Amino acid sequence: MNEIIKLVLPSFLDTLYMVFLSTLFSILLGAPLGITLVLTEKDGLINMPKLNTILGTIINITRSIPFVILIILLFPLSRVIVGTSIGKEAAVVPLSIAAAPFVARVVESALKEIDKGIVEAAISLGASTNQIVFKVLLKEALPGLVLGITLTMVNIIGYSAMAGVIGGGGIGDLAVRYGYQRFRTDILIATVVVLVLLVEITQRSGNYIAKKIDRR
Amino acid sequence: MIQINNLRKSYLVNGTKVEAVKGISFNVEKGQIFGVIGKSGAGKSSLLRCLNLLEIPDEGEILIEGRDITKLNPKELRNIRKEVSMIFQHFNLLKNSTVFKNVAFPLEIAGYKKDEIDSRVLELIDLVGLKDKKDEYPANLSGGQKQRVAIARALANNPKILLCDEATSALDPLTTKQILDLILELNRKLGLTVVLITHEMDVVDRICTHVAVMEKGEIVEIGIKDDVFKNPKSKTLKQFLQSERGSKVIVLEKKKDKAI
Ligand SMILES: Nc1ncnc2c1ncn2[C@@H]1O[C@H](COP(=O)(O)OP(=O)(O)OP(=O)(O)O)[C@@H](O)[C@H]1O
Ligand SMILES: [Mg+2]
Repeated sequence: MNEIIKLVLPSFLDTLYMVFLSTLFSILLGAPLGITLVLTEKDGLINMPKLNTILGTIINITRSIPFVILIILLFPLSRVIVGTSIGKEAAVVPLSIAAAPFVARVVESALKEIDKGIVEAAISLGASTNQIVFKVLLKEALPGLVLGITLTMVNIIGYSAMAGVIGGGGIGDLAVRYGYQRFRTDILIATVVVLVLLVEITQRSGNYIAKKIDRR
Repeated sequence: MIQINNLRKSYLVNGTKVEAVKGISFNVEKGQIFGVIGKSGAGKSSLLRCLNLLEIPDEGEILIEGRDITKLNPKELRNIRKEVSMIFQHFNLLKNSTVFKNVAFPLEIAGYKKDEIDSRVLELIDLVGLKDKKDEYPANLSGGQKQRVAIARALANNPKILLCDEATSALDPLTTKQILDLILELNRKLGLTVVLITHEMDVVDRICTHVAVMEKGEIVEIGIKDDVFKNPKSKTLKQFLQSERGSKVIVLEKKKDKAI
């Protein structure tokens, strides 16, 4: 038991590291993209349907590439950005980029939920586009955004295990090295349990927070 | 105060042009409560929403205190919108913000300091009679209370003009009366000029000083309310007055009940 904990704990921490950083960076990349999608759609606040179509197409293409292939394509980029293409730091790059288009869509659909009338009222009160984005759209959509980010995290947990398989470190890496290559079924089971728990806790916390802040 | 010259507004619906406002001209003077009535689809909302450029007119001028607002740059337009406020049929409050925060919103975006905002918001909430509700969220308010919040919010930047788009159409008769009384009080107390659109005769009858009747994108009758109502010319107004007479009887009977 002690041995299992000794093996699983560091891998688990690596997974947490990858998941948190990748979620953070995917939001930083994806959220502005999602906001841009909402603003530039036809009759949006910045009516630029052509740009909207271009962005939408790029997002769709990125999202349709299977994740494993995306990682292989992007690991070289990790070498440029973090100086290595193996380990948990290296995995953050493809994970963030792979999740960013997903975040963009999540943000887009959360913002589109907001009643147009509320935006109109803000316009009628003299709000600028910036003020509408930050003080109306993002604020009103917060519960939906929290749920969307939760979904992103759950996805990234799954992706991170896959990234582990091809040299990314973390729980997935442990599962391959011990569970698969050394036939340690107990470790394999432990990794699955840890992942299931992590997903469960993430989803439950997300649901709880979203419900707590929803005043509609 | 407001001069509207040859205002036109159309929409493109599936490639065909729908003319909602067909070259309308009229003036609204300071302190008037100007009602526009007409049937559904007559173009009332389109007309009203041009007055703060929520809709961009195809043609025509809208002069507010002599300035043509159709020719302003975006920044000037945002500033003029602080002088021409609007309230809506469905209130359009920020659902994840308290009453206080909703009323503070226009002040925050105008860049006031926090203590200035706090005192002004409390003053406004008091003005609309919602002192004890300041920390409630809109979901916990009645329709009338929501509209009071919207009115407080609309008044935050001391507008000269209040536009009301069917502001009482989602409210029951008693609440409608209370909101109209509030608008009347604000008109008298603050000298607020009001332009309201409605398809309820009762609303115009109760508070308007002037009235215009719209039919298919055009104004068919306009003038001092009492004069226009005494001598209706358009088909729309005749019909409206007829159905109004029916409801008047009911109102009178209700009043009698109360007297007893
Ligand atoms: N955003 C829009 N896009 C397309 N057509 C519109 C739009 N807004 C209004 N119209 C059309 O313009 C005409 C006038 O509509 P408007 O909403 O101004 O009428 P209204 O008098 O306010 O009616 P109601 O009493 O039903 O609110 C209608 O034919 C309507 O279908
Ligand atoms: Mg209307």
